[in-house]
Amino acid sequence: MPLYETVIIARQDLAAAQVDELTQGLQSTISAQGGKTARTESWGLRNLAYKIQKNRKGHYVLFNFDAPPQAIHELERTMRINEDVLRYLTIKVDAFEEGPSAILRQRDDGEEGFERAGSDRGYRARPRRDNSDTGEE
Amino acid sequence: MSALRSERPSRDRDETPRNAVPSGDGEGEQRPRRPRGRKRDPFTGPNAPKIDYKDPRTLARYLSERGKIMPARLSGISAKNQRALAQAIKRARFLALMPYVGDARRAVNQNVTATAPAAAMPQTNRGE
Repeated sequence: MPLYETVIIARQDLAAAQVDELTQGLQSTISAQGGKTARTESWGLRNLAYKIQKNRKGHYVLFNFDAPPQAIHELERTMRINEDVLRYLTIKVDAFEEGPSAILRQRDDGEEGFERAGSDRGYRARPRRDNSDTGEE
Repeated sequence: MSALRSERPSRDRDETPRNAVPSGDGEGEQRPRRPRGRKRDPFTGPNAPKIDYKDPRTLARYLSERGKIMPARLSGISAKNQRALAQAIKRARFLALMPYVGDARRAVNQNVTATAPAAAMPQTNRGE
């Protein structure tokens, strides 16, 4: 069976316990379809980069599982119906990742990064033109 | 692998590429402002970061202030990795990890500080 990775965003006003419950519900959907959840990772309540259905934040949960393709169908159908799920993204992967994913790692190294300025300075220097004249965007 | 590419004199200033005079192959008179030497693909090599939609901070480096994906000719990323990168950025946008429009770096950094840390994440098998 192929391996999958799903990230869901749950509504901001759910309590952490409700999110767990939701996740478990989804995972039982998977197992009901003959799949097996290998790993669950909660990213907590994060700010969304843009509003989704009036929510500014959302609970992110990632899970890895091994399931027959039809299970995805059922899983996504369930999520589409459930209004607590703002977004979901399922991806087929070759292997599950070990350890916490990048998004959690970055909390630790705090304010590092981004100052490799040289590499993109040129690009940054010309923002204004973007859409003013060429109606490109 | 990154042969004959990215050498073309940068059009930093000038964002009207379409109708620009083709002029042979970039060896022309336009001032070669950018220092010579090929840029390295940051995603190739021993400890290169993986291109991952779950890593918006890395991805954000390759976006403009407006949130557009940077062309490979400026970043030196190989064509293959550029495709993977674009895909990852689009996934990250879909998951609201980074904005479709606007300054991704700022947005991503804000998130790091604004998110209530560790407390909110149980049952993750972190740390190994």
